[in-house]
Amino acid sequence: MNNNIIKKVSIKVFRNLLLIFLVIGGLSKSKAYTPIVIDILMPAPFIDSTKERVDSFNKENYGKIKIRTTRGPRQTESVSDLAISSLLLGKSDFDILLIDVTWLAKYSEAGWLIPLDEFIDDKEWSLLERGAILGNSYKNIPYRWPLLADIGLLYFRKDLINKVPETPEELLSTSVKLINEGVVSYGYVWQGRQYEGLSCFFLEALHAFGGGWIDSQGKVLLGTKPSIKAASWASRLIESGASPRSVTNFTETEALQAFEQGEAAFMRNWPYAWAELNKDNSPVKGKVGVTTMVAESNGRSVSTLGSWGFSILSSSNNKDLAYKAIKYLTSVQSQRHYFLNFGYTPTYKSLYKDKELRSNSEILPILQQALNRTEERPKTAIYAQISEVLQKQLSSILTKQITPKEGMNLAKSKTLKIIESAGSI
Amino acid sequence: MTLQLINISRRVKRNWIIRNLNLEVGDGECIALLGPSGCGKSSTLRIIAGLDKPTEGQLLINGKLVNNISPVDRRVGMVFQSYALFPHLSVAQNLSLGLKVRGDSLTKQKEKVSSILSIMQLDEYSERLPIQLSGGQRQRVALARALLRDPYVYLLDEPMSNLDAQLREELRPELRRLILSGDQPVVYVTHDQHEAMAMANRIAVLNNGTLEQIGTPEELYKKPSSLFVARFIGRPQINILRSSTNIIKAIRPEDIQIKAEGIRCRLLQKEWLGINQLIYLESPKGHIKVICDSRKSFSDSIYVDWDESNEHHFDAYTNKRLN
Amino acid sequence: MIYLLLITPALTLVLIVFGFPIVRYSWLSLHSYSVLTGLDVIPNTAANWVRLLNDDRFWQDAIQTIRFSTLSVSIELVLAIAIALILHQKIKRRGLVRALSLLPWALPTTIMALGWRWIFNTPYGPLENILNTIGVGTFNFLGDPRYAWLTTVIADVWKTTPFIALLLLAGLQSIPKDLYEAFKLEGGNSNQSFLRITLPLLEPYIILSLLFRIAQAFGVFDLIQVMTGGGPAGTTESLGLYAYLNAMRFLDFGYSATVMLASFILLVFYCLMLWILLSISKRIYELII
Repeated sequence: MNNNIIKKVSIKVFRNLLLIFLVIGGLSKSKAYTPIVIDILMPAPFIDSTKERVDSFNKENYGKIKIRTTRGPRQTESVSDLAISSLLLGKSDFDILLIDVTWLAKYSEAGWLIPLDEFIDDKEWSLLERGAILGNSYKNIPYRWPLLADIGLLYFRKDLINKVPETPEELLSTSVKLINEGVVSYGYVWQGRQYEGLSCFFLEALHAFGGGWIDSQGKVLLGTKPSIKAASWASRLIESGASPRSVTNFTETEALQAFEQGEAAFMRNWPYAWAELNKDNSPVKGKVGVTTMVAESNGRSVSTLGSWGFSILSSSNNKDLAYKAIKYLTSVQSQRHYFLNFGYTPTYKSLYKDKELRSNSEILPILQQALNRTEERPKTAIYAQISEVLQKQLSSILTKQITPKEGMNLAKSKTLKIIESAGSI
Repeated sequence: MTLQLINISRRVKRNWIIRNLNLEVGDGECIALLGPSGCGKSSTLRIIAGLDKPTEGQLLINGKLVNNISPVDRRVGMVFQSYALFPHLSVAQNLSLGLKVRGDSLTKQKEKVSSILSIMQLDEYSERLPIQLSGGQRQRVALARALLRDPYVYLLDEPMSNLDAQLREELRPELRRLILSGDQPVVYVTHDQHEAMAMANRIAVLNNGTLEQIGTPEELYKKPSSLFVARFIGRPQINILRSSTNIIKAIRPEDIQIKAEGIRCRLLQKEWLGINQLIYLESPKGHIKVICDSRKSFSDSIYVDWDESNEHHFDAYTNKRLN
Repeated sequence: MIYLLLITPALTLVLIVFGFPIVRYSWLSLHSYSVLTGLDVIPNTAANWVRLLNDDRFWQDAIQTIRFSTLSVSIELVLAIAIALILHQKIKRRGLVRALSLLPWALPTTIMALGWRWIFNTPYGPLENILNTIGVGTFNFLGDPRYAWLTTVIADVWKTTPFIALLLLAGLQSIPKDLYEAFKLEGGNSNQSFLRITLPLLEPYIILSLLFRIAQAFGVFDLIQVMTGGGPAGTTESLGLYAYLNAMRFLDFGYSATVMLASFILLVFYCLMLWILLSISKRIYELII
């Protein structure tokens, strides 16, 4: 009896061991067909949103190509630091970088990215919305293919106002009115901290008053009347109480927090905020409207272009396969998936006509509209210096260190100085 | 000037460091506190100085109760075992610091310091830092500081223990001249019985925080009140004889004579010490040591004897003296 | 001769660790090396230095760095002495208290800077809330040029005081107890013993922590980067942050090296001034006590 049990058990053990060996053998055998690995560095949030598409790519190309993603830091600029550190070593660990629109000029100028015109023809570009085509080229050569579009939007509380403000002055006066009536404690919240977000906010203001930052000929438009008007308006937002004093330390996070708590009537932010504001636990769920930026009658309503896209590094050994991976991750089907699950603004025209998407999201038309009014920040390798000059002078104006006129003139002269020492823009 | 300790005890948590200590140091008298380490001799000194508080008992200086008097107002001149010289100050500054904080004028400070420096033969070292002095010089600075204090009582905490043997002997007369010739009572803590005998008028032997015996060196040597004192005082150590009764008998090595007949012993070892020699014997009463003339030579069998009146008898249970 | 041989390994290490960067930076500061040169290194004689002398931003940052370092190191030193004196006492669970007091120092700077950014944030920070509740009003700490740099000082003080305190505690423990007792018998009270024994004997430790901390404060970067990003109005930007921005954001490594080297020279100059000031005040101190 006992012997029998021992026999049975040992047969089972033997069988299982055999199975394990077979599986291990199989695995090591499959290693013989090592796939070519394409390494991509992305900021952490994108790793999560693209995971499903990466997995399905790897499944379809099993044994041939494998996308391996590296989780970068959360902060946009920290990702850039990481990428640059690896690029400076000469031979980068990565084939593909997911890059922000403001890095493009710098990276291209440094020779780190390869031109994509051998892969992409005009026909393919024409499938994208106008705003999505922008921000991918430097000196008329494309270096990047977009994953998603990103544009500045004006959020408002549709339950509190009857008429959506269309001009900067209306936005200011409506905010003040709502505060005086005690409806909200803050009127308009935006990005006033001394950082890149302030440049994004101000680019929209410059155009709203009929001005600009640096025009296509490379002429600096700071210090002009419209720029002073724009700066005065931003300063008056705080003075008049339309925006809280603490807006001088607001990033997107603080602005969203105030708006989501129902304490603000208007907010400048990016499309991602829509999904956040309409989550089930959001106090303002269903009360939020989105529109394009305000502008004076002689100005233009524009949205600052954000957007992320993939670029192939010069040091990559598998550029063709890298491009194949990029096309897959940014395909219509992929973008559909990103929009439905993560609210990423699509870049393909076709998706804006897609019935399912349209019925699923009320802001798709607004996104399309904003995308068509989008404006790029100056495309130059010295963008970071120029932007920091503007940020610092704006921060000085907003915190009452200098007047808008002085600030804009200083911004102009310092920008010119940087351009001069760089030789050109 | 006098110093009196009446029933002084000190307890730290549950341990008695000192128990019911009575001590009287008279005018110009030097008392040595002698005992093994941890016996409470340094604590006694600290209590007198006011650095530690007694748990019970009274402390009198010049007949005045000083239990609640601050250390500075007790006016004691203390020499620390480490000398406690201020390492960042020169010799002169070390000496004048006390005068300064006690409010002497600058000229007075200078006067006093230079006179003490010349008494101590330290003039040429006045600008040196303690680290630049030899051990003996440091000790002299520490003594000078105690002298400058013009104290009611001198407290010396193992003042010689950091010096080598030769220097110690050289410094003894100096110490006697400077400190012991005055009329202040001196309490001298040491674990070295030779030093205690050489320096003190009376010796107080402490054991486990209690006073075993106090008396002149001669009294302690000749009539130790307990087995502990008998073993502690006198070198080579006293011989304890094997006994079957409740009485412990002991005889000092120097009281044993070698004779032609008597108790028969076997020679174990000998140590030649110059003026005399120390021999180790195995006797019917156990191992004994004998001091004898260094010129003597021995065979393996030796006969010894002693005068019974020289024996010290102690109770086997209390270890107290019986005869 | 043999001693030269014996110190060779240590000397080589020091040269590699300290000498190499300084030589490399000096060399780089005489070259154009940026994204605009296609990352090629091109000699430009003193162009970087001329640019530095005329660079308002550099000088504003230099003043800010000096202001920040001076204030935070001064506060840290005073607090650290006080804390070291407390930790030196026989307190209950002394080991635990000492270990706990090191926690802020052990925390990564970026994490603690995020914490402070949250604490000082307006309107949702706890500090604003407390001040509002007790009716003091709103301060806008991080958004107001008057206060923002002070918040970075507070964060820095919070982080590094424990470390200095521990350093000074080691100094306190090296002072023999005998000295205090001897001084007490001589008539010194506790104030006098602090001024005449503790402080003079602690001096080497104080100098050490001063030098150590000033060098560290001069290079402050991550704290500022996270808490204020250099704003508002550029008032909190340090030289370290500026050098970092030049290298990693502007890809201008030649100028970044120039800024680094200039701030190193500034640091040496600052320490020299401090040394003179300390010698003078030591003389005065010895005269008045």
